[in-house]
Amino acid sequence: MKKTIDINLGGLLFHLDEDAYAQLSNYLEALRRHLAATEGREEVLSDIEARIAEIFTQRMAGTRQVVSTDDVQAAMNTLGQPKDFAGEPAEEPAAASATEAPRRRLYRDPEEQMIGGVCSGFASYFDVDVVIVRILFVVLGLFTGFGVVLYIILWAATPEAVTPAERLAMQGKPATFENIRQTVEEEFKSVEARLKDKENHRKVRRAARSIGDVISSILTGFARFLGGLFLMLAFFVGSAILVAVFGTGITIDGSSISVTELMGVFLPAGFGPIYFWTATVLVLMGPLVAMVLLALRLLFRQHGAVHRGVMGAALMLSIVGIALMGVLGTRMASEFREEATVVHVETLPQGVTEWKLGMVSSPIEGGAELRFNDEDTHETSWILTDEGVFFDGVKLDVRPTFREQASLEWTAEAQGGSLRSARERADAVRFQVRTDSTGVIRADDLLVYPRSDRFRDQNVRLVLYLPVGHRVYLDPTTVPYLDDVANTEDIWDGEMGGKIWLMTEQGLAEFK
Amino acid sequence: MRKGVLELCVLRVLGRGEAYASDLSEALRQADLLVVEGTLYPLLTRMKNAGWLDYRWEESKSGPPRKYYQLTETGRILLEALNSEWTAFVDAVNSLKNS
Repeated sequence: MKKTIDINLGGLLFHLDEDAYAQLSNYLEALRRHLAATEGREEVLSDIEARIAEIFTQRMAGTRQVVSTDDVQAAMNTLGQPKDFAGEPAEEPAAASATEAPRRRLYRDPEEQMIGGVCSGFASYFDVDVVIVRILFVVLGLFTGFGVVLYIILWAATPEAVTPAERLAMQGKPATFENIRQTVEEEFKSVEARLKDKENHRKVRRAARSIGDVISSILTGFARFLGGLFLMLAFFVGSAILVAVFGTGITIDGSSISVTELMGVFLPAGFGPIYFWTATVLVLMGPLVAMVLLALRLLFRQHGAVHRGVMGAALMLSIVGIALMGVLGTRMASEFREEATVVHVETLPQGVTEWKLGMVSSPIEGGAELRFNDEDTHETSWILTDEGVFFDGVKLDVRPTFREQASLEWTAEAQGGSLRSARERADAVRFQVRTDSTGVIRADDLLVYPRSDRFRDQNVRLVLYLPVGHRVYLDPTTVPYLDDVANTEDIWDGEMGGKIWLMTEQGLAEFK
Repeated sequence: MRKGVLELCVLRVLGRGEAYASDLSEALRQADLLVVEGTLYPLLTRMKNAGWLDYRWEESKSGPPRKYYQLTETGRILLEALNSEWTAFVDAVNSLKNS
C-alpha cells in the first residue's frame, strides 16, 4: 500500500504515489534552478509542466489512476535532464548538481535505527556522529524525562526515509544559510515575474534582490529563533508535568506537601491523583505537540500530512482530557452541595466572672504541610499526618447572653454530597478546649478530621457567651482567629488582643 | 554555434506550417539535431519574446491545451535572411574542403 499525493499539473489533476511525487518535485526543482537566469522562466516551466501532464495522460490511457515512478522517469527521459539542455547555460556550477543533491530534509533513518531512527535522522541532518545525538537524548531522558516524550513526538511527526528519493533528501544539500537565501530569492523572482510593468522591471528586480537578501536573512534568523524558543518552551512545560507526575511532586511555595499528595485528600473518592494527572497531561498534549511541531517547522522546514495526523491525534487527546476534567469538576462540585453543623457544649466552672481566652499550638510530629497566606492576618495551613488532617480553620467569637452563667460552645461545620455525609463529616471533626477553675480557657489552634473524609470545608467556630458584667482577657494568640467580634467601639479584631473586655448592656467594651 | 543552428532549424520547421512543441522536437530528432525535448521550451519562449514566433492555444484530447507556434512576419523575414546566410556559410566552408 502506498499513499498518493494529488497534484495539479497544467490544469489537470494527477494522483502520484509518494515516490513519484518526490522524484517529480526534485526534477521540477532542478529545472527551476537551471532556468533561474533564463528570461520568461515561469512560462517555460509551465510549458514543461503542461508537456509532462500530456505525457502522463497518454501513459495512463484512461485505465490506470496513479502515476508511478516509471511514468515520471518516462517524462524525464523525453524532456531530458537540465544538464543536457543544449545551448542554455547553467546559471552556476552548483545548480548543475541540484539534480543529484536535493535540499536536505529531516527524516528518520530506518537503516541506522536503534528504536525509531530519530537520532540517526538528526545525526544525518546535522552531519554529526549519531552517538553524540543518542547520548544527548539519553541525558535528556534521564534528567527530565521529557527526552522520552520528545522522542515519541519526533518519532510520530518525522517521516521515515524509505524510498531512494527520500534517502537522497535525507543526505541532501545541508540547509545552510546560502540555500535558504536561494529559496527565498527564487520566491521573489517568481513574484517579480508576475509584475507586468516592463519599464520598472529591471529596477524592481534589482531592488527585490537586495531587499530579498536582507528580509530573507532577517526572516530566517527570526524563524530559527522562534523555533528554538518553542522547543525550549515545550521542553520546560513537558519537564514540569513529568516531574510532577513521576517525580517527588510539585510543592506550593514554602510548603512541604506535594500536589499529588494533596490531590489524594482533595479529590472525590474514585478520582485519585492518577486520574487528575492523566487528565492534565492529556489537556496539555495538544499545546505541547503543537509547540514541538511548530519548532520542527521553523527549524527544519518540515511539515506535511504526517504533521496534520499527529496534530489531530494530540488535539483529540486534549479534548478527552478536557472531558475528563469536566467530569471531575462536576463530581467535585456535587460534593459541596449540602452543609451540616454539630454543636458541642463545654462545661465552665461556676462563679467565675473573669475569663482568659488563649490559643495553644499543638506540636505535630511529621506530616506534610500546606501553607498559604489568607488575606492579611490569618495564615492558613493544612498538615497531613497518618492520624488525620490538621487544619487551623478555627474561628473565635465573644457574644452576650441573658443567662446568669457564661457558657462555651464550639460548632463543627462540614459539607458533603448529601446531608448525611455532611453531617458525618461534621461529627468526625475533633477539637479540644481545656478550661480550669480559675477561668482560663485554652483552645487548640487546629482541628483534626480523618483523611478519608477529605477536604470538605471542615471548620470550627468557638463562641464564648458572656452575661453582662463578665470580663474576658483576649490573649494575643487569639488575634488571628478572632472573627469580627462585635464591640461598642467597632474596634478591629487585630487590635483586640492583649486587652481586657467587659460585657456591658451595649455590648463588649474595652475595660480600662 | 549549435544554438544558432537550432534556432534556424526551428524557423525552418515552422516555415512549413504551424507546429506544436512535441511535433517540433519529433521533426528535429528525426534529423538528428536534438537530444532532449527540454531544450526546446526555453528556446521557443525566447524566440517568441523576440517577436519571431507567435502561438495560439488549441484544446487537446490527450492532456492540457497545446501551444501551436507559427512564424510572425519578422520571423519569416529572418528565416529568409538566415537561409541565404546559411547557404553562403556552407558554400564557403565547402569551398575550403574542395580546394
